[in-house]
Amino acid sequence: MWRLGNIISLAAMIAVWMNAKANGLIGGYTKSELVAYYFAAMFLYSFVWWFPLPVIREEVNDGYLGPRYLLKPISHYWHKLSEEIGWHFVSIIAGTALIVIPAIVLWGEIHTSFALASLLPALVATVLGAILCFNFAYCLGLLSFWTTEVYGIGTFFWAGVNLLGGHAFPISFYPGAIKTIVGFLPFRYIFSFSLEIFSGRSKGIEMLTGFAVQLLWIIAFGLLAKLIWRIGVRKFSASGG
Amino acid sequence: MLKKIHLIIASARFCLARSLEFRSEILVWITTSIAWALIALYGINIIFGQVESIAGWGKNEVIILVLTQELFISLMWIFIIPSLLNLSLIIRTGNFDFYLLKPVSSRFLSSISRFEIDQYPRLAVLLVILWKLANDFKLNLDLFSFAGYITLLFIAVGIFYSIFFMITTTAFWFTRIFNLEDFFDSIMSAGRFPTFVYGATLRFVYFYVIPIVFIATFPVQFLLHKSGFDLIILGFAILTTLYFISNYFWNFALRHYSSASS
Repeated sequence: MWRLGNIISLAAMIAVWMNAKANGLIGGYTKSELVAYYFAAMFLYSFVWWFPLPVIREEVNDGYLGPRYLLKPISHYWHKLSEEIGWHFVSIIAGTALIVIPAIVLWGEIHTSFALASLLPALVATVLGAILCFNFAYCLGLLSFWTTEVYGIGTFFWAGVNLLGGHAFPISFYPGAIKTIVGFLPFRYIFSFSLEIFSGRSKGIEMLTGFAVQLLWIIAFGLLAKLIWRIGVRKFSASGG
Repeated sequence: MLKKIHLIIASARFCLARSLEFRSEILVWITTSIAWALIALYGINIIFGQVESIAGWGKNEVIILVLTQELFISLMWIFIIPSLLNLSLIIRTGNFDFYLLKPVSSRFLSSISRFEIDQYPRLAVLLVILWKLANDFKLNLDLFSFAGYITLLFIAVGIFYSIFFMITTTAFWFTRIFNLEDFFDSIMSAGRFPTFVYGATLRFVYFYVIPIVFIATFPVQFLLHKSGFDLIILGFAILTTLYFISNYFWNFALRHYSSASS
């Protein structure tokens, strides 16, 4: 159902851009490039949206954390990561299948400046983007040790990826100083960065700098997750189980 | 009829009491829902920094459109969607039998089981923003156009209640159906832009099959004096038709329901 909903949203955004009136380029994109952008974004979404927050919330708030992880020599972080890898094998197949038909129908409207040489760095950025998304969402999920309202916090994370990460529209739409700030936030490196490499808009030194910032965010959230886990587990108590 | 009104009031009071047991959760959701509405409006500002119009609709008109869509979403989340999500849950967990044993229509009971109070502040904020924008954009609203606008909004709520109810009814067969709220949100978000952006085929679907055009496009057209009373008549016709279709489908589903034991 969720995938079907994504296709409806994709159709809406593509229709909007095909009917938008602008003088010249739209945020540096032609209409055909924007259509290609949204297809790539929908495809990419299947790869990078690693979101363990609801599961972690359930484990902490419903008390399953103790018997499943604290009493066993299992790393909670690596177990959650492996669950996401397993789930995404299915998600990627479903996401790809649902996009193929609209892509064939609108093939004439799609134009991209994709070059084969960009494929490998784009894939690397995608994998790193997924890990960054996981680390960020994992940290937010661990806030369940202190509050039951992590779903609300999770929606702000989604808003961040949507508006600041290039899912709703390319981040090149933002004016001047805002674009510079958005360019350094982690949301860009979850989503937009892969699309920029794929479309040839990020290359050379700029791309390498982007990889460095992406890795820094991954490490930062990884260390934060470790810290939150250590503090949270000391505070955690469960009954039953 | 009086009994049903009493049941609705009783359900609303129960939901209010239940919600107020978790005040911090309510505060988080109120903040989140208002923030989402403001983010949606901000997004339109960003888009119109790059384009002049969308399908002939200018920036002010699209802002009113998005505001209307957010109002629609608030109404759906207050009155409709929580009950439907609860229906899907109770079918899955085998508790639906208790609804069948009550001396009142199971459809009616399923449709009024939950109300959300965290959307009321968002509704109020959106109405204040609408009033302010109407003054800023010099829309010259009158009572008739505003009354028609609200009527069309509630017609949209009624139409999508029937559609979403039919989708939720499939839980009798697809018991593991979940993430319905994401699917509902995706459909509702398609009403964010003028329905005239779509090509002929999709426009037919969004006008007559899943009438997304009623979410925001038609109410705003009426508000801005671009359409007449015929929209309201059309809306009532579609609403009535969908209600009877959804009722037939519900009764069909009940005939094929086998209890999970209780």
